[in-house]
Amino acid sequence: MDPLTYGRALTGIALAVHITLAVPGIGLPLFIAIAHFVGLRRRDPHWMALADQWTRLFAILFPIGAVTGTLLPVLLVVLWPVFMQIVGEVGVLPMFVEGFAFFIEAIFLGLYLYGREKLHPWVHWATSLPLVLGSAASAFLITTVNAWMQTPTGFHLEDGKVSAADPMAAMFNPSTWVETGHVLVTTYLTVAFFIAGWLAWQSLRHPNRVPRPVLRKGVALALVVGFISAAGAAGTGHLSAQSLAVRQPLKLAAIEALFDTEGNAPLTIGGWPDPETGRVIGGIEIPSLLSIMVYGPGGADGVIKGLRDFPRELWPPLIVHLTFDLMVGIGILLLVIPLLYWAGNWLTRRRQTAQAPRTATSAATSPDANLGVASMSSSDHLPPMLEKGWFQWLLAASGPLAFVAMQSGWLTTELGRQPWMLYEKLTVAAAFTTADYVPALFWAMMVGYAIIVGVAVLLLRRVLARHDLAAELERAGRTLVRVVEATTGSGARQPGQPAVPTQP
Amino acid sequence: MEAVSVSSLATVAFWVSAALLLPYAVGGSIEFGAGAFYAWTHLADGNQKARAAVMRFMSPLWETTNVFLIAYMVSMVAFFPGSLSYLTRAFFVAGAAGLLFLVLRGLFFTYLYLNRQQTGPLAALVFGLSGLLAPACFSLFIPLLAGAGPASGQSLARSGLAWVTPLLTVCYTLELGGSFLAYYVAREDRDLPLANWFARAAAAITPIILVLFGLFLVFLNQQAPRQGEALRTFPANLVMATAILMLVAAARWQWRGEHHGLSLALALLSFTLLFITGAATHLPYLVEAGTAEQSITVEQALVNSTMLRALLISLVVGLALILPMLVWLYRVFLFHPARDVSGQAP
Repeated sequence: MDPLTYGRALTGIALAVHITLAVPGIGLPLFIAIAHFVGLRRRDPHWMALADQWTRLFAILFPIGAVTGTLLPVLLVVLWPVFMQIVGEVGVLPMFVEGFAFFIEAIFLGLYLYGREKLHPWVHWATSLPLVLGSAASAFLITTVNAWMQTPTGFHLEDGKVSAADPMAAMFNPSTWVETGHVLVTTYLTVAFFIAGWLAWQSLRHPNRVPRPVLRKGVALALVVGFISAAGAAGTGHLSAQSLAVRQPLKLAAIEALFDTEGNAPLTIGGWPDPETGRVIGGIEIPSLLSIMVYGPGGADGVIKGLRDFPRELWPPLIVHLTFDLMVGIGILLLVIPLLYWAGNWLTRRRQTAQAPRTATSAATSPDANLGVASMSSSDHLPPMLEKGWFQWLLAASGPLAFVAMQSGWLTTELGRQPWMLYEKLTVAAAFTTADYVPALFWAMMVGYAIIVGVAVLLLRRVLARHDLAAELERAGRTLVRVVEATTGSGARQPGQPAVPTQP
Repeated sequence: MEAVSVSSLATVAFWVSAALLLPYAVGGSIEFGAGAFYAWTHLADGNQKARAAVMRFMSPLWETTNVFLIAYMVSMVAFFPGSLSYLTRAFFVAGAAGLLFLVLRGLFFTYLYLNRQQTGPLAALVFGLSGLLAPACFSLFIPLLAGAGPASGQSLARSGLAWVTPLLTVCYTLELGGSFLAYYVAREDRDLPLANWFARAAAAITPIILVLFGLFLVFLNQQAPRQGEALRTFPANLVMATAILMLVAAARWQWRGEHHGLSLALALLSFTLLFITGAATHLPYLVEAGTAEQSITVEQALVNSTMLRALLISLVVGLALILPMLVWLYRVFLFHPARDVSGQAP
């Protein structure tokens, strides 16, 4: 491999590792804040147990994500000095502001993780909110820089010299809103299925260590958020593709494997685009659909530019067609899973009610209604779909699949940007360092990342083995006792709600 | 060398990035030093209480300390993109090594914290040692900015300054860590024998710091005569003398086991004064080499004025936002009436 390939591979791997760690870091606070809120409000140890386990996960992933995040700017400066110099002159503002968002995250991570005994229960819960906002702000700010790489605005570049720098125009470039929207929505989508999948996995592995109400509540939350964000992902993805048609038509042609410029352009699903013959081998062609998707229902004859309209040396690698289809395929599956869950539950319950109207009523009427008032036996029933092994396996698989979809989405965006670093302004090759240590750096960093990933896996295994959901539930019960002690007298406690959870 | 004019905005940018580095230097030193004491107590006498104290104060704060380093790095890229190509070339090996140690230390801290019941001495050793090697590597930034190494075409290993600086840094790190632990243990755990032990350790290092600091000044004077001259003239010389006196006074009390809080305050103040004096006499240069062509002034490296204005505005807004949060964080975990010291957390 030549140094440039080493450099690109290293950058790609560093980013892929960081994204995998950062996405739970951005998404988990939302789920933690919701579960903690419901748990405190209803004095429900199940929700508290979920919040605690997700917090534990967050506590491990966040510092490791911070480590890989610290390495990134250093690697970028070392490998791509020409690019980073332009970033310094034009695009660095969001990175600078992101520093403050990162401060907010670190400060409230400390307060939320370690302030449990020192803060009032509701104040302690409230310290999770800046984590939600700060992490979303971080994601937004950093993604604006990537959007700027796709549609670089706000400067003139002549002979490597930057002039007329406009940081705000660079930050709010034409791709900013569609790309940040898609990234944020799909981050919550990925984490929703990560959570659902992980709950299902725990329940498959150690059924008696996963209290059933905890499983039911966790999956319910994950699938609601998952469904909303999957719908959002489809919407923002659609807008992204329309934006590509205008601003990066070559990239659109590559991801849709469209060789010839034409009206009534077909949508090709799957297949292998062969750059030599200009044909897609295999794959399913749906006539006119691509034109309709870009130009709207009445625009079937709208013209879409094909690859042949552009010089061959500017084509991105055509594998982006497959990474794109993989992302979309998994996205659709993730949209279907929640629907399947709700429809399956509804149909099974209706059938049960029809067969045995009397016995089924107690299980079918809102299981939360009498939660905690008496025993929890009523909520020991799982929704019918969660009783089915195949659905649990599907759910367990959805977690890793969501990560695969996210990574293939990034591969599509970044490979589709090739050969440009700053689209149509600076090539990747021109941005690269002249230093000769890149291959050595590559291997050194591979060892470094192997250590980081190894320690991360070791930590997760060790800590989570000792804190499974049953153990979390026990601890959540003790926490709630303290919460009640701290809040009684202030009138916050509602009559009829249990002070002490009844289940160990 | 002829006088170099520097605009006030370049000076502001310089002090802003220095102001981001100072909290990292102080907070980082305390945590690195405390980590070394953690490893020592694990290997030598197995004092559980000392280790518990280190874990308790570090766990909520160390991420925030780290952000100061990231903020400093981003501020250098943002304010002084013109220095980027030199700094990455010159600082690459030391910086990468420092980052590697920092990464190891972060990972092993998380590991030690989450597996408190069942960790062996090896993990503690890696944690403590990497926490000393990281600042030692980072401190090579000082000789590089003073023109040692690539800027003057010589090897960094042949510069006396490049040998003294890491040693001085490690000793100062231990001194600050010991001073802080003495104060913290006396206040939070009310464990005076342990506090006095930490205080004596800090006091014992102080004479070594004085010797190394003297050597540091001699080598700095060789490397960068202009800055050496500036340090000998008023007011820099007076400030430095005051700082040294403060350090000596702190060591005297610490050796007798008195005034742990005041000693810590003096040690921190003396470090801060030396830091500010060093930065002030370094101006107007970012990198000061033997000749004007090899040197980089803050003015030359400064970013364009549009970006500079945007950065400074967002800095003011951002600081207004996070300063109260920082105060709250440190109040809750460092200066809170000690209600609960069990340190229970996930």
